[in-house]
Amino acid sequence: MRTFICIFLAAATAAAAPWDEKTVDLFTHLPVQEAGRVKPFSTIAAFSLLRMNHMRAFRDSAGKKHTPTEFLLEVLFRPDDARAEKVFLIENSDALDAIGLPHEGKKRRDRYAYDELAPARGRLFQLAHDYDRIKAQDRTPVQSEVIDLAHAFLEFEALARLLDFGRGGDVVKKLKEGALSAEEAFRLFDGATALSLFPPVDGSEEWLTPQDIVALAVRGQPPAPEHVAMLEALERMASAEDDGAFRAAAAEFYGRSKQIATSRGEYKKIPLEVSYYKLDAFYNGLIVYVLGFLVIAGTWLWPNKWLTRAGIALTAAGLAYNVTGIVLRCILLGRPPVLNLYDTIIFITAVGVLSGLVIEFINRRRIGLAAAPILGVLGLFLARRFEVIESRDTLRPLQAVLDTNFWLATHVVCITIGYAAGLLASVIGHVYVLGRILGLKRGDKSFYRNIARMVYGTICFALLFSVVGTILGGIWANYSWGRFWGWDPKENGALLIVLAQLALIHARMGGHLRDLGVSMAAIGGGMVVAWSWWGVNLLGVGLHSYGFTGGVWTGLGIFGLIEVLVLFAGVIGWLMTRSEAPPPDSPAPEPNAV
Amino acid sequence: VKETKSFLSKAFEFLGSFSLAAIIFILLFVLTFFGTLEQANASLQDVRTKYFDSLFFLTEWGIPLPGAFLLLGLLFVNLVVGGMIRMRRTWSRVGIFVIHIGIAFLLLSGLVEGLTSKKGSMAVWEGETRDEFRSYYDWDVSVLEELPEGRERVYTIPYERLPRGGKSAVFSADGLPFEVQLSGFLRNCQPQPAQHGSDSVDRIVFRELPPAEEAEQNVPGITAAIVTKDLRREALLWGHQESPFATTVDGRRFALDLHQRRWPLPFSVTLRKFTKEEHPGTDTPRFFASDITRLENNVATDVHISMNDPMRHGGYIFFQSAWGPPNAMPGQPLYSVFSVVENPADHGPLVALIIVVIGLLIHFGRKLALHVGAEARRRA
Repeated sequence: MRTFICIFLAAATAAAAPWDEKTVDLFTHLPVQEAGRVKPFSTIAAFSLLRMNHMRAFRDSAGKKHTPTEFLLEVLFRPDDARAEKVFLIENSDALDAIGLPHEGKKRRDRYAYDELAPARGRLFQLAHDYDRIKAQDRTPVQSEVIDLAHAFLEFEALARLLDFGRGGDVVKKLKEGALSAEEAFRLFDGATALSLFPPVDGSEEWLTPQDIVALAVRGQPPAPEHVAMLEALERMASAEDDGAFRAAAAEFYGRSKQIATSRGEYKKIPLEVSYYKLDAFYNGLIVYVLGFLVIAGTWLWPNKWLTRAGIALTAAGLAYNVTGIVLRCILLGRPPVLNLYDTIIFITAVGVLSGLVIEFINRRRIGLAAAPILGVLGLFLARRFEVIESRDTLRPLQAVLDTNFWLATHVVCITIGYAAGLLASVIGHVYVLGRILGLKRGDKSFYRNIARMVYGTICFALLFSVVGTILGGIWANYSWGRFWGWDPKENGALLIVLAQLALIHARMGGHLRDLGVSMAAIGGGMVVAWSWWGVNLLGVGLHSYGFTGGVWTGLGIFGLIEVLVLFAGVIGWLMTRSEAPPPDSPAPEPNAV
Repeated sequence: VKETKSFLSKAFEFLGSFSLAAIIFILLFVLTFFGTLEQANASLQDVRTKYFDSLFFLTEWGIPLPGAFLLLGLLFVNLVVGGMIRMRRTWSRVGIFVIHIGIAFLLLSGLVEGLTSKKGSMAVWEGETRDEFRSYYDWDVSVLEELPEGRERVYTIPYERLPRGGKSAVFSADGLPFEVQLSGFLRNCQPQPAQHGSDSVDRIVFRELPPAEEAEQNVPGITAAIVTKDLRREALLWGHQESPFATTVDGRRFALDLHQRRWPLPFSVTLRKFTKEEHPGTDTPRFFASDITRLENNVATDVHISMNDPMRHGGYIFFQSAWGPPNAMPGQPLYSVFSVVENPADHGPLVALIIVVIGLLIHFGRKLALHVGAEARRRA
């Protein structure tokens, strides 16, 4: 029995001999250039793993959780072990049926190892090739999953092949002796990924891959001695037979890379970026927002001063995480807070929560306090989902057309504050409509009166930023491209928000909308914000198009459907109260009384 | 005592009412929404002409809608009547009044821009000099007569007057020894050898193409005929033709051409150097810029034009817009493309924005202060 346990343990640990902490730490901080930016190895590893496993970690066969850096080390240096790890998440087993891979005994959504998928490799690539010709927006979810899987599979293979050149242990020697033919050099890297691991020593901007170093040498351009030493260290790591030799080579590789990168001024933000991901501000913020919401929901059942204070503290703590994450991102890129869609999500969430807390601070009716963590939870949950859907580094350098901190800091920030306020008004509008339908505080007219005033006030606040942000966008376009307004989809999206809010305000002043009407219109306004924020990107046209597909249509559709149901319920509720009793609605406001 | 209002005063009241404002906003909303959706299938310029530059139009689904031009005009009237003339002038409404002035100013500057601005582009190779820019969408037919001593006389038939929809039209001018008959205009087409027996000119016909995704990529074609009492010469004029159609009538030499409308500039532009950079290891452009020399009245000035940093001079604005050829290898010559705009209302939006922001701050600042005060009193 004891022997059996020993064998079992040995088998379990052999599946993933742990990387020692020091090595993992070195590689976590190793600078690499990718997609126009020098970033830590751990960032590249995390997004690679996100594309395969849809999360920033994986569990080995013994059930132990590992970091992205450990994953990438495994794939690069121990590809045979990595191929047995279940790092490919299949969301829907229909995709496996499509590629003809049996999956008995597995769940519909389950994880697979490279070795398990390998038998269907040919069919997978064939199908992905066929599906790739279908326009992204016309693909079925299974077709999209097959394409994504093929990409992830190929990425894994390319990474696993990168260090094949070094496993024999004699390439650098041959290279130095000039005994490596061009053909041989080409074959060494056949199908391998291009990872820019070598900071240039000649002042040029583009970092070099192992392929570049070998190719230059074969073409008679001797690489810099530092690069030869690094290539040698890489080779020693790839062919190391014991941990000690590996660690020594890793330390040398990291040391040289860090030294050159530091002299180029490209290392200084690496530790900060590692800390940013370690802090995991948006995940922790999400957890704290959830706790905050639960505590505040508790106060509805057991009103209590201390519970309310705890709710405020938790929501503020969530906001602190949220804002810290945003600030760190600004420092990392040296830019204003909102540069891409991912940024809009976390920024809108922070502004929405902050506005909710400000409303609470002003009127202490626990409505702003309820709305704040709800927005926080929804926003940061969306950010996590979006990161998986997009699966690429969210800290990206800007393209030339957007390269202006002034306009990014004014137009983009104003527009996104407008979005946030529009969404907050919608959340408060939900409190009004659902509260009335569910019969909460029945008979307390002032309660509903005040919610409606909050909705209206928030809409005014949103209008202020939407109008200014939209006109600023036009001015940016005017001063940068020579046209104030081009009826481009994203411009139109911003205009739709402004028009919806203007219609609401004028209809209220004209006496056409009262409290319920304003609340319902604010919910409609929330739908317009969602459309402008996400929907117009799906049209795939215009300057502001971001070109993603997939889950966004579905998410937007579900959101739209829920909101239509809420509005429908609002109308039913209105008809019923009309027939039951005199309306608890306020009289129409005096014309002109904004 | 019930006051009876005349029809005129009722109409005036309605023109300035909140209800009309809300209706206009809702209609503009519907218009903008569908005008955005339609851009998935049609070019931005076509949608703009149909939805936004129009008074009335029919949607894809056969529903008639007022165009943005009409609605924005109505909004202007509504805003001036309701938001400025009829509004009660009290201190509490100063902010609103100012906001309305700003928006009215914005609409007006939009109108001025729409009616008077010229927008086009100039593509110039490194080392080359240009002194005119071209319209994006308007193609004119010109008849050029070569005069002695290298002089020339040009007659232009503007784009707006070219016959469409299978019609033909005849043009004549004092001094021209012939009439020009134009027919068979195609907005986007390509010349190709004629099939046997087809209606061709010199065995070439135009093949009609679907409208390009971007309207500025359309290349039009038209059939021109030079007609006198005793002769008729036909020619196909195509937008991308290498050289114009040349002919001699009564011993005088003429050339016919279909080309983008050209606007002369009061100065010339020489591209000395074009620079572009990508983010390292990617195809994402990080920066592109042109170093030009502007020559005006024998005074040469060196100017650097880059993305987000245009050249403003003499009422013209030069924006760095693109470059080419797209597949140029390093070291190969490049050309730079500028968007060129002449717009008298250039700074209109900025002035409007400043007015609107002042109004918004006055109004909502006052409201917020009142609200906070009231809530504080309630809690006290």
